[in-house]
Amino acid sequence: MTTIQTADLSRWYGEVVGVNGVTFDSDAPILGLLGPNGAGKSTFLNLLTGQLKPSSGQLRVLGETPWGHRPLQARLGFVPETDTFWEWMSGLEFVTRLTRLHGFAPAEAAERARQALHDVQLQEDAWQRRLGTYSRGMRQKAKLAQAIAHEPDMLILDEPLTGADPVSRRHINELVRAKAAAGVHVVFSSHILHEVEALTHDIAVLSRGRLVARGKVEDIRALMDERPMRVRLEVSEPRTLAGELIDMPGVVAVHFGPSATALEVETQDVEAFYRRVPQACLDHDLHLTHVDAADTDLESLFDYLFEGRGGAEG
Amino acid sequence: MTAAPSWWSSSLQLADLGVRQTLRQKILIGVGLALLFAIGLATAIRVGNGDEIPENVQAVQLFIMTPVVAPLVALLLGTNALASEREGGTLTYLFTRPIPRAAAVIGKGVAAIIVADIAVALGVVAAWLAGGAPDTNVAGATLALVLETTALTGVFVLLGTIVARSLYLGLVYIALFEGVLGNTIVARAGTTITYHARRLLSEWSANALIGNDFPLIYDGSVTTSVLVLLVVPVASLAAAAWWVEKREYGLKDRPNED
Repeated sequence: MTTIQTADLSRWYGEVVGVNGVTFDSDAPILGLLGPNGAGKSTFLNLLTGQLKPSSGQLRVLGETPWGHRPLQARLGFVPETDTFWEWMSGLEFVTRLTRLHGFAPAEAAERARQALHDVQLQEDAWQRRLGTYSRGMRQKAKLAQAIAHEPDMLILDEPLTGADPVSRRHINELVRAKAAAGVHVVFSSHILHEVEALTHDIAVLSRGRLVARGKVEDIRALMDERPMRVRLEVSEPRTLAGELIDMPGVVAVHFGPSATALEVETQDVEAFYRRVPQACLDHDLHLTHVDAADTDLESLFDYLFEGRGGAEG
Repeated sequence: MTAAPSWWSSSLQLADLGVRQTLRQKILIGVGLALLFAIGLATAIRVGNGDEIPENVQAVQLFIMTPVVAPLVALLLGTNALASEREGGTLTYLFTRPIPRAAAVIGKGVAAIIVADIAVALGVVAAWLAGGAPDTNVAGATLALVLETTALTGVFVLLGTIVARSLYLGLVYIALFEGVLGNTIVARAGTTITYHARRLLSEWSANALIGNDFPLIYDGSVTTSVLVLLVVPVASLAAAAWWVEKREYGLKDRPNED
């Protein structure tokens, strides 16, 4: 079953783009939504949960249009990214109250809340404590508990691991895997690749509101390998070194600055580049003071995908 | 999976949540200060007059509640009703449940009205106890002020739902519309909530001076004033509920939190 269908889905906030022309289908048991801060992940998840209305395009979740669709909302469980609670409530009251809003009688809601808190492995002695006294990991678990207590068909988790300690992360990951194994569809967002990899290989990458890649994590890894890397150097005579490097296989571009001794090289063969630089410095008696890989982080990959491969599906 | 809760059930649950939430908020300090002002003034008047409490002094006590204390209490609690959830980010928990969004507005609005009414009623009684009330019908006066508070809180729930700086706008509304218009432009006095509250106060408080204070504007019927004070909060909550039901309330202003 196709759980998420989008066609040219867009959502703007005035002139600010939240999600822009996103088209993809997913039937993955666990779908990871990867992207940097501001990529449009939360906007996309808020569209899935029916809290936002698309500006244009089509969106279907479990075969239904989410906006204003209360029967669909009964089938969804949502963990928001924001770390906000009614701080005065106990964890148990928090989950019980929200479960009651799914139509359960008070006693059954309380029972389901206890089960959910148990499932997320929140320590029982904390259930009656005020949420305001919880650690970040415990708060994440409480949010997760309110999302699963009514046994939804789909779990939508916005940055569920943010702020969680390693033990809590393991618990949350185990729970998500168990839910997926039990047939619950899971969609979760993260800006950290290894968080996504720990749960699924099926991902959609968003950058600046656009879907810039869709497929397996391995595809993203391959993209990281194939894209040019930028290396910054500080050297006594940058133009001399540039002359040596510009004809090297794999070197795509050379830029000078911002200082008089700075040089930035884009290369697709970093290992060969690192072997060649010391030799070139020795040959020309150059004084090399600094070498730094400028873009090993994921943010630069998102930029690369957005600028060079924007909209492509992998 | 079970049937979604009824509109009525979810509104009641959210009203209960709203009352408990309000009782734990700092906004109650402002409410308490407004009530203390009335009680303090009543006490000062009593101390100044000894055991003889003239009728005009009781009228002053009532008038402090009508244009100042009740509107301030209604303003603080009404504008805070949904705004506290919106600004606190907890609306997302409510709006991802299979309940009408309007239920959140009605529930939280009713909660604000309940707390405001209880606060004002306690304030009236406390001011009377502190100031002395040999001749005035306290129950009648309290009822009139509770109806006023209900109407004003409804208006401020609506204001707090549809605009961001509702507290300041509400203060302007109290000062200019309820204050200036209701007290100086006699022909328009019937459009203000405090006018109708005073109309009921003059009828129910058994204090003749209140009825004589602004003789020109106290010519409407009691029934009309009661109806106005009942229809205004219902219409205000309905308008706020409609506003939220049709809009992406609470998330629209936050595009960059992804």
